[in-house]
Amino acid sequence: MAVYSFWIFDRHCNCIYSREWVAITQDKPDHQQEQTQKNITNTGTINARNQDHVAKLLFGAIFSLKQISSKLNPQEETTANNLKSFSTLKYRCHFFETGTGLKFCLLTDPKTENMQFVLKEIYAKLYYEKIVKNVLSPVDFKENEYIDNEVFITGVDNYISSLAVFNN
Amino acid sequence: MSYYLAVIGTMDNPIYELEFGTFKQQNNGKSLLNQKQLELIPFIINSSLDLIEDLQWKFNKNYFKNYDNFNNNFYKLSCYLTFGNMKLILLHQLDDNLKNDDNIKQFLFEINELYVKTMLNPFYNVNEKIKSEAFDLKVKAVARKYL
Amino acid sequence: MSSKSYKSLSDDIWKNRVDKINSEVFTLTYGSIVAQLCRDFTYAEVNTQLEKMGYNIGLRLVEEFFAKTGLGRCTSFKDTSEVISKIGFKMFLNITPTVTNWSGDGKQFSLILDDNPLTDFVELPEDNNAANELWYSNVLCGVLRGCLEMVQLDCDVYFVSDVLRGDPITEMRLKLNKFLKDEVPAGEE
Repeated sequence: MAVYSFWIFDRHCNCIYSREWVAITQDKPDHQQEQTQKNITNTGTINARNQDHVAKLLFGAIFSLKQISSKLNPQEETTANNLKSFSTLKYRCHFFETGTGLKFCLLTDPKTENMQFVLKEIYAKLYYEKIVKNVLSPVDFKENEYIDNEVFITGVDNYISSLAVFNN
Repeated sequence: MSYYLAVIGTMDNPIYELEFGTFKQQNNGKSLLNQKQLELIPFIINSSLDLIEDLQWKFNKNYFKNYDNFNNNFYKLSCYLTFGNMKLILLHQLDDNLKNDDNIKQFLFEINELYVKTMLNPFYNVNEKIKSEAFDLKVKAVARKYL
Repeated sequence: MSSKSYKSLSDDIWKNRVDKINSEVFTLTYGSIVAQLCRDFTYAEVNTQLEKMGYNIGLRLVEEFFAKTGLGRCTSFKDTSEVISKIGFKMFLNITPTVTNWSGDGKQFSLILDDNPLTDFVELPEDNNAANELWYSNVLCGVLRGCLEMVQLDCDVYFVSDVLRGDPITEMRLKLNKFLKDEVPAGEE
């Protein structure tokens, strides 16, 4: 069981954070950017692929699936039909969207159980505590501005590596 | 039986003054001081301020009962010293032998409460004159209750 | 969600999941902000500044709201009004204003605040037209505007009457201008 990557998209459809523990596609190594000094974070990249087609593809897939799922709601409008995850042969993508349009996305191997609670925890305990409460970080990130808050990055890494699922 | 309440600031400036009479025994609270007496009272109060300042360092308390008198006990003064060095002074005549020392003490304590509430108003600066009508009405209500 | 379940949810959140602060510290802090602004600006400008401050607070406060309640977006403006008054105000200020005065098209309503912790012990200065120009709790209008904008509702929020000014009740009016469309990625239209 493994966690492959973690993405955050803001309400302006920009990718504001990406963290990979294993690259999804074959790609040139010069994409790699700063690596932190902690143990598990020696692997993978941080904010290296925010402008990549991968990020845009992922966002596009999620966006379209959300639209489809809300249109294909079998019951009346009263109960919302929210996308929770989708899976393919190689990976499963867990998704969580907040009321403010913030989208959290976690790619794991296909056998993983529902990780909604993980995403909710990351939102409530890490994103909210470290980014929102930090008055010096912007509310709306501009194009090409990413989350580079050290505390947040290490917090996410520690949290995800402490999960039973994480295995790389 | 008439009273005169004065709140004196840290720079010996009066920030609130009220004269009234007793409400007990069906008196209507009108003060019975004549014009000449009324003119003298602020001077009496002012001259007693030194006494308070001496006493406050001698004794470890903030309520001073009858610490000063004028004209052989014709007027007596009691004072409540707040922790911010504001003096709530009550000047009272003793026309008859009503024992109301306790009432005066409680009266001054309640005035202190009202003063603290005034301080909590963000638009009120320390040592400013208290111009609020609400404060005035409340003081009169407290006077009616105790004196 | 029904009205009763909002109430029990908000009580539970207020009791367990919210950090509390001494109300006098809060009131005095806000009071000194307003008093200082009144010394620096005219009353009309103070109102604008308070609203701006509230707007910036609201942009972030809404994240705390979602993080603590776990609710999603509301389905209708009526639902929004219930959530604001029963959960939002309760969580942050421990008061529950009443929702009244719905307009005919359902796009405007009033919030009546019974007691306002920002205005404990406050009396407006009696000179200089404060009673005619200053909305003391205008920061609340900004907070609501900021929060609603983050959930794609463009609203105008303003005070109609205020006990500090001598009116009988404190009333805020919310007017929905339009629903902001969610942004779509470039090329998706």
